[in-house]
Amino acid sequence: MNPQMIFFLVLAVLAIACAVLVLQLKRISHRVVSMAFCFFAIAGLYFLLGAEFIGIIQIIVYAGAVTILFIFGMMMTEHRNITFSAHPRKLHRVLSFVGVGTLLGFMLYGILNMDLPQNGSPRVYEEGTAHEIGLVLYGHYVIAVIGMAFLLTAALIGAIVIARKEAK
Amino acid sequence: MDLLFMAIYAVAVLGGLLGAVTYAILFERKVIGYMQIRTGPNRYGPWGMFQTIADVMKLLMKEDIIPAQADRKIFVLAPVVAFAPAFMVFAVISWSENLYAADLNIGVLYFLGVSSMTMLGVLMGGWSSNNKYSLLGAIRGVSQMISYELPLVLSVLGIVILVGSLNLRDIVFFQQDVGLWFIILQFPAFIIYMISAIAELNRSPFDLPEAESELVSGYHTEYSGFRYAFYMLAEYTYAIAIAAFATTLFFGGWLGPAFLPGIVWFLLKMCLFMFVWFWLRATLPRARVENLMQFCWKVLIPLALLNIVVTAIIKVWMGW
Repeated sequence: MNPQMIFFLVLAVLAIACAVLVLQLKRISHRVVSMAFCFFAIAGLYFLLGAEFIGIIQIIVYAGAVTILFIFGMMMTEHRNITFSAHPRKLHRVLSFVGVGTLLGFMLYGILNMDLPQNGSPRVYEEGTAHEIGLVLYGHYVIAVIGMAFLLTAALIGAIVIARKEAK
Repeated sequence: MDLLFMAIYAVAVLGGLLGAVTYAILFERKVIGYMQIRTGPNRYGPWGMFQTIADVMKLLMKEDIIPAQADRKIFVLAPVVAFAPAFMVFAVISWSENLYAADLNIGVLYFLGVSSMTMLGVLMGGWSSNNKYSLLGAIRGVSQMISYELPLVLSVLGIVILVGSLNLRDIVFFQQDVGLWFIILQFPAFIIYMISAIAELNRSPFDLPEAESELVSGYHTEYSGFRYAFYMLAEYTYAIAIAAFATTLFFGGWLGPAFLPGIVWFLLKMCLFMFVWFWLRATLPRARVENLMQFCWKVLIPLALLNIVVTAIIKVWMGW
């Protein structure tokens, strides 16, 4: 077993364990923290795959911004120990089981049928770099990027307008 | 074998860092002491050399107190979460031409992204203490850090545009080729960086999260003993990291006349940055909350954006 495999196993187990803990823990503050660790472990997996840019974006956006957003949401709402009712109805259980099973099936199908490039071919290492992503985003997809920028600006202005009205 | 080497490097950096933090604290007290015409610590060891060690000994031997109403697990975890990212960023710092850990192509992004995680530790500590002063301090700290991260990142972008790379070593090599440090080429960016770095570090004059006249001692009010020591360690580690980052970006990293090795130049430049922060602490009064936020959003961010635009225009115009 090479060191890469060991790190992969550690990070993968960490990510899965933290994801399970998010569902399992009682207090919402504990859940948010375990979610942050889950995001971190996934970022570690990206680094291990050589996709450094995606990994760092995972840390900035998910582990940084999304987690802080969740914590502020938690602070502004009630934080008593709220759990779902202990015995969900049988129909709920069956339905959610079927839903999760279908999702798993689709994902396995996608992963197993994916056309992965051979190990060590130089293309693999060039595709994930910041340089390459920048060229693609501002070359081929430039209209989509600008459209997104407009959408985000509109959302930002909307948020400010709503907040202003409440302050009056 | 590679892995072993990495582990040894990490442990060596950690050891060096602990020593550096010990003497940074002494340095701070001495600098402020002399500025206020007193001698500073002078009882333990020659020139007060063992003062910080004695302080740390005291903190380690103190009783370990966790408030009864605190959220125990998060309370225990928070100092670690605050320290780990501050240490992780040292992976991309290149101490000299040959001495570095990771030659990462996105070093700048890595540094900025990982260092922003310290916020989580601050927020966890303030939240879990179950104390209004802690919570207020944590919220202040986080809102300040989020706001000032924007000008910090934007001020660095000018350099990235000029160099055309996010690699910290490439940035130093570029300064070597041009023969000028970025403090000259990007002077407005340097000023913006320094101001927002001080706010990021929660140091005076922007130490609102720890304003002792209104908030006792901010987000670590409830912490004592070695957990408090851990928070202090995280704070000074982050200060050293930001100083190292500034040295690489604006002061040409390890570059300098050849009579001293590169790493010595690097450390000397870092000490200069640390001195500036201690100097400001001794001279400036604390800013007010609303001034702080207005200054960030209405002055620093527009200036930083303007700097980016001007840099981009110059780069295209000069055809670099």
